[in-house]
Amino acid sequence: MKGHLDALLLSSLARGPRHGYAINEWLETRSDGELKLAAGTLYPALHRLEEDGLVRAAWQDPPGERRRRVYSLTKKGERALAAQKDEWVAFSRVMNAVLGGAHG
Amino acid sequence: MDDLDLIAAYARRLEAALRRAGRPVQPLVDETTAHLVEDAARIARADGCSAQDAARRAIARFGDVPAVVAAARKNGRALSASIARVSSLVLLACVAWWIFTALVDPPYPLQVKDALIVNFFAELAFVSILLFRALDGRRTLRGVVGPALVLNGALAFALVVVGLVSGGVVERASGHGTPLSSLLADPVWALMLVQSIAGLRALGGTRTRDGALVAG
Repeated sequence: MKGHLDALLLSSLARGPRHGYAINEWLETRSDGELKLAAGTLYPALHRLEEDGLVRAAWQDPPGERRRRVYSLTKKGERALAAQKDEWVAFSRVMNAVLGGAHG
Repeated sequence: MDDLDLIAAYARRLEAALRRAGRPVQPLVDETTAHLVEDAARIARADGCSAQDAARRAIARFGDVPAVVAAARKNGRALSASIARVSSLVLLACVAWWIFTALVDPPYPLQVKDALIVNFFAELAFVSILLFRALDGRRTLRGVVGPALVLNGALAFALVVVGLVSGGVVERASGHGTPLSSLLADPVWALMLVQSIAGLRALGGTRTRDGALVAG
């Protein structure tokens, strides 16, 4: 799965803003526990996406709850996610055709 | 040492390691602390273990300090990318100024050679925009920016060498200054060379900027 971290992170934010812990949890749940991301590598990747303008982040301090930094997709991030999805669909179609053909 | 002490100690080690590595400390350390506190609380609730054990397990799941610093390094904007972006912006500003002075407000009647020079500067501006966009993650232009930078760099290198040689001849004839004077008087060729080398290095580096991902 190396090389697809950006798409996974952007995809986790396509359903709405989340903080880092929730992103990690969402990825694990969504993949039925198959995808275990070391959280220590998740935050630097989120910061890079923020620096590239694909996500924005803001500290939120809800009363009675822990202070969290919440990430959301920017317009540029939405476009990047759409492009990465198209690329993945094309790639998986090719792989399915080739690997499926090996048994055919 | 209780659970919060364990997490605080981890955060201090991470902060010190990030400083040593020359990486920004915030917001990573604050986010790490918040993440570990939340994870430890959930582990303790789910498994009924002690708060201290839960904190240890949360830290183990998060990753050791060297791994986090390595991820911060890998995801940080490379120095070469920053140099390439800054040199591209400076060159663009220079080109805009030269085109303005040559075409819009010429100090002397426009000649054919001026039009050729403007043409060259327009090409340089195009390369600068290509590089800036490519480093900004615009994938459609990445295919052409590499060859454009190689051509740009080769031209700049030739002009730097010619500038040094001819500058040396002129300076020897006039008896003052050094060959480097010609480069300092007209630094655009050297800047182009820096832009091309840094741009090529930065474009090479962006291919491996993904964070580590483990499929379990």
